[in-house]
Amino acid sequence: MGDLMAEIQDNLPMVCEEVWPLLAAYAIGDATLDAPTRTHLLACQTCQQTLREYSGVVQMLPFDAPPVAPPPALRDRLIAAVQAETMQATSGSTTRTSAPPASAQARKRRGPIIGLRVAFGTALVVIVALLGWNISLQQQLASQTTALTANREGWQTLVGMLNDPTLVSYRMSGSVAQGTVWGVPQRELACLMIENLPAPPSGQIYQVWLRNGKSWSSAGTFEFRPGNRWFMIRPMQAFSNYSAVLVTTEPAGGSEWPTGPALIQGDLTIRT
Amino acid sequence: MRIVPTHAKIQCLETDSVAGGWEASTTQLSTILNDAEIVSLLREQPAVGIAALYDRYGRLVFSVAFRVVQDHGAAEEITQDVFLRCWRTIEHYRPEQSGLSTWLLTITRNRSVDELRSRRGKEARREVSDELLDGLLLDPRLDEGLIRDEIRQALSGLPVAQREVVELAFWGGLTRHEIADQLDLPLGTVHTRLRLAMDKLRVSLQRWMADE
Repeated sequence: MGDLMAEIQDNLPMVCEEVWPLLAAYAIGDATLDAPTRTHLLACQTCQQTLREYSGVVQMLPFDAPPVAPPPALRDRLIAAVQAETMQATSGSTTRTSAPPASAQARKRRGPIIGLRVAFGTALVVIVALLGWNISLQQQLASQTTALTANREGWQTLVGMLNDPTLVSYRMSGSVAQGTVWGVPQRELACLMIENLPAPPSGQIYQVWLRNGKSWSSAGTFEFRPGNRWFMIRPMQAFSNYSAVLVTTEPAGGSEWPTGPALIQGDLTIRT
Repeated sequence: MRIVPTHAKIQCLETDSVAGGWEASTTQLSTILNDAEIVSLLREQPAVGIAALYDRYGRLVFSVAFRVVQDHGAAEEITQDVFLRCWRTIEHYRPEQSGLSTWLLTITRNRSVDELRSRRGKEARREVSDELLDGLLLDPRLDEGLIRDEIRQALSGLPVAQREVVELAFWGGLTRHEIADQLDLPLGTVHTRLRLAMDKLRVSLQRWMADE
């Protein structure tokens, strides 16, 4: 093994001292690494570590800039730009979803007309179909509007809660998942933010538990959907009455007390 | 005792692109949310997330842009571009690769140097590829104030000639050849000064480099 390492070292086309100036320039953004340098770098742990440290230095250099306050209007302009772009994206997707029925209708209009009766019948079918589609669309729209309104109200409640001067927060941890729970001590309101919650076994759901004294009470259930991280919970008592929070997997419909494995938990007596 | 209904559904807050109306009340968010929480908010509630991100890092980003371009209007434009780019590419952000502030500032510095070089009629400089770098480079315990103190102290320990080369390369966006021309020095001397400066800095700051 020692001989092999010595042989590899002997065959390295460049020595570290030759590589370092290039690595320094590379880290600062003023050089590309040619093939011999890259070959050396991939084989040489010392140079890999040197490059890491040079790059770490370069990551720290921007902090040497003297602080200068940006103009106050920039914040509003930035938020407005984000809002405009997101609303444009939303309206774009709405337009896309409503397009296919129009073309379907056009195709129907282009259909062959054999006779007056057939034409009348076809028109009737189309009208009925369009009416049905219209009602279905209106129902979908009403349902989506309700969901959007509820979601927006949820976010508004969350943001309002996070700005409450009495807000408290606690860390939650699990073997995989990490998170935070925020609550307003005197209100029946809290929010969980959980990252990396593992998917529950098929047919199971998540259930949130809050401990009051020696007993756990359910704060509700939620289903697995990838990407969901923020959850509003509305406990039956003021948040300050609880001493711990726990998320388990439970059979669909929920359980009366925790039966599944604890995926993440937090101690509500130790503030962050 | 009130019985809690076990079947109550918890409200999962979905991504909401129709944001607005409460940005003015988000000023506390940047102080109570950590970086991971801000990133999550940015993905799911862009307007609130960008406000929180800006409240935390806006001044820092603007300061770096201004230090490079030395122009308020250009620094303002760069700052807006950086935050919009950050939001649009947030799925590419790798917390295991860099802290949020260092990621933002790397984008800021590269964008600012490109702006500066474009004004001079020079080609944009390439961005350092991370393909040769795995893992976090800086100790995650480093906060903004600590980094600032450490880097200033380390820079102040450099000989003036070496510090000048680092500043021209980093803040001035000059290549080694351009530095050699500007300082009327042989290219080899610029190489040596840059390498010696970077070696001293890495030794001074080594304790803040993350373990592999």
